[in-house]
Amino acid sequence: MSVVSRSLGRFILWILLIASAVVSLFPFFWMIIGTTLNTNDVVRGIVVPGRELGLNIAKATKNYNLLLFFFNSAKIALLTVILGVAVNAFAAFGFEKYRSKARERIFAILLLALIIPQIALVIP
Amino acid sequence: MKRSGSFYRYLNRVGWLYIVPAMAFFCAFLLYPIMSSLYLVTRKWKGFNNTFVGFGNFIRMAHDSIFWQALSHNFLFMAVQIPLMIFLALALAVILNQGIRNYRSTLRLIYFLPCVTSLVAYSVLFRILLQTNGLLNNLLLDAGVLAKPIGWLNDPFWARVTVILALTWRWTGYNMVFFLVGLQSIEADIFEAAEVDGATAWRKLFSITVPLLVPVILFSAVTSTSGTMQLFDEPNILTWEGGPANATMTAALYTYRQAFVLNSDFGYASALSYVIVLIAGVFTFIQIKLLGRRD
Repeated sequence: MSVVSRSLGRFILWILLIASAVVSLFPFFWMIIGTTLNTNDVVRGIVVPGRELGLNIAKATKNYNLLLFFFNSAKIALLTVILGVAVNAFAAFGFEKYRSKARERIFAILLLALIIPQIALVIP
Repeated sequence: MKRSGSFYRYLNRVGWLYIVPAMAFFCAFLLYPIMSSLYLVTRKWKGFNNTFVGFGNFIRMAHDSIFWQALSHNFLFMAVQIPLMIFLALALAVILNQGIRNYRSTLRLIYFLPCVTSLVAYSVLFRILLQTNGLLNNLLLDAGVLAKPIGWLNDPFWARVTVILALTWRWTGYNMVFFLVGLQSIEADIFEAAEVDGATAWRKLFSITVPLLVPVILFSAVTSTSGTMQLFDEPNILTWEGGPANATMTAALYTYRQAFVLNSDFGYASALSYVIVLIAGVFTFIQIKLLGRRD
């Protein structure tokens, strides 16, 4: 393979990688820009930062109790992680180190239950 | 070595002790709902009262054209989005693994980022981005790609495209990470041996890399299929309750609307979810049989 076609190949690879990265990141970038714009400019699709960051933050903190919302999320996340890791780590240890026919069967049922849609479980 | 009876019984008890907490959660949050839905499917709700209808819910389902439409959308998303996503994820993983040494972890993080965002946040963002007079249309119009704006959210055809694109945006990086891990577990010796035998880069890709990645591809396909069967958030928020005119309605969203939005018929909704679970199970089984038979 010649040097030219090899470096051309690398060039195309980089273009692909960068294009994918731009697609992945653009919504995040745009969201951050959006925090500095007013509603009109966001809807019109402006991609340069505006001057309303302070105003937007003031509006958000005045209308919503943001601190409480974040605290609620943090509480749920913390409890889920602690409880999840504790319960699951014990179960994994039990399944792996103390094998028995009955427990293998229960493990198979647990795996099967993974395909049940979340929405189906919220019906009372 | 023969274990003494009482010691073995002791071990067995300890083993049960370890899994009891997990089993308790499983029973409370999975087994109990499943069992109670067995009772629910035989009943029909009218307001607060419900009556026994036997298989009536399933008969009603057979005549429910919106449900069949919704199911066909699930199949459509499955048939288009999953191959597209797996192809893209595989391509990115192979390029990252072979072509690029610098910036690999940075790029991996960037591609992975979409799937850790909040569903609601990204759906709302995409809604604004894809409005008829939104940023994407304006860009395409200015670039001269389009003559008139595309109704990304209003046109039945383009709304489906939007859902597929949004799903691909969100999950490609996630699956790519699995492929990357799979690629890195392939021994370099195999490639060296192939090079000695004079294999080209394409030959190596299709004769070594892809076959050795089959278990990972299978995992991606199975999780994506069951994910697509349960597709709910994107049609609910991004294209607004399965709109336009049910063009992106999915089975799970229809189930949810039957239970909580339209007429609170929990019996019918339970019957619908049984069918969804059954179909997801059948697809998983087929995929494992097709792709997993080699070993």
